[in-house]
Amino acid sequence: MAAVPPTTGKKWSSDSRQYLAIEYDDTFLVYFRPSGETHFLNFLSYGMVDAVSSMPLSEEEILARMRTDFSLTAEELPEALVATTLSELDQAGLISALGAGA
Amino acid sequence: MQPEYSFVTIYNGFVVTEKPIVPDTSESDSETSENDRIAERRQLLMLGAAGLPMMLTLKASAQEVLVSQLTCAIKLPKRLRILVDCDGRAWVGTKNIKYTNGKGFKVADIVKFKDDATYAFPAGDVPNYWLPDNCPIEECSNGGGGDDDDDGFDYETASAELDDLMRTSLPSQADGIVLASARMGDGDDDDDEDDCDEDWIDSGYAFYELSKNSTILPVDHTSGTGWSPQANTQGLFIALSLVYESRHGDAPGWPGISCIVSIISYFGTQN
Repeated sequence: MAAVPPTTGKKWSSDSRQYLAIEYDDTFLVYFRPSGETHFLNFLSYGMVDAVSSMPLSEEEILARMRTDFSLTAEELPEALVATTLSELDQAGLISALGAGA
Repeated sequence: MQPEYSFVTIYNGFVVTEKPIVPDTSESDSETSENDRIAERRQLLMLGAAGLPMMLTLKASAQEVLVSQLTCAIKLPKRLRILVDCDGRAWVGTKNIKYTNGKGFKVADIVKFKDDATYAFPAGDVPNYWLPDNCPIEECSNGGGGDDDDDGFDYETASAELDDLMRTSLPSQADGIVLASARMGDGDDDDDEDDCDEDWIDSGYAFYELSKNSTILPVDHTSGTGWSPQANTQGLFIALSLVYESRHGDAPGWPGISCIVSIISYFGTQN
């Protein structure tokens, strides 16, 4: 398992009770109860939501977790893509930040 | 065996990968499938790194349909007036009741309004906020007996009449909301000779008015998950609408009742 960098930033979390997810061939239809919206998530974005639903993780931890879970190299899964996806998930309400140092 | 190619198409902004046809080989199907999946994922990530969103949102969601239930408005086709007494009774009609400073309401107007009211709500239906300021009704201190109630309205008799009406089979007269024929003011036929000014009364009633073409937005009288009528005349209308709905559902007869029912249904989906 890849080493997890030290956590310095805010942690992200998700409440799995707030959404329903169904997988269709590596694509996930996620119905988010609070907003009433339905989202199409691919393996990466859903993997991130799923990862932080079990325990809060920092961006660095999420990055490491995704690379490990999906057998991806740093080149295949750059930090910027994870950061952007986190922002999209945050805007949709699917994940939320617990605050710095949490 | 690694696929020689794969298709990546974008449909409505969403990436759809199509697996290439791979001929049967000696490799296990599961291994081939896993390799395909990894290849697809890598390709997707390359597109992601180039700016393709990793998630899409369906904007035409169920939430928008539900919220539309809150957007209905009630426009009154004609002026609507509401008379409220100290016991929380209400009469709804269109007639005017004259109020003169120093004298009060004209008793004849009150009696007439009750007689001609389109709807009458029994005691306790009006929330406290809209009850009259001057309660109870002033009694004649120097009267010579008889009915001291100088509002021209015998509550006990009226209540009995109301009960009788409620037992009738008319669909519009169920559970306490009765049509104008209730004649709530007719029960007091006393000819007592008390010394009260029987022409005017300055306590015991509050009178509210909503003008013709008033637009009422029921959603303004909600608080996210329930009703919260505002402290104004429109709030009284909403409060009475809820009473009507509790007894008649969406039965026609009360202005804008379908809008009220729509919002109640919305709240039902939230709980």
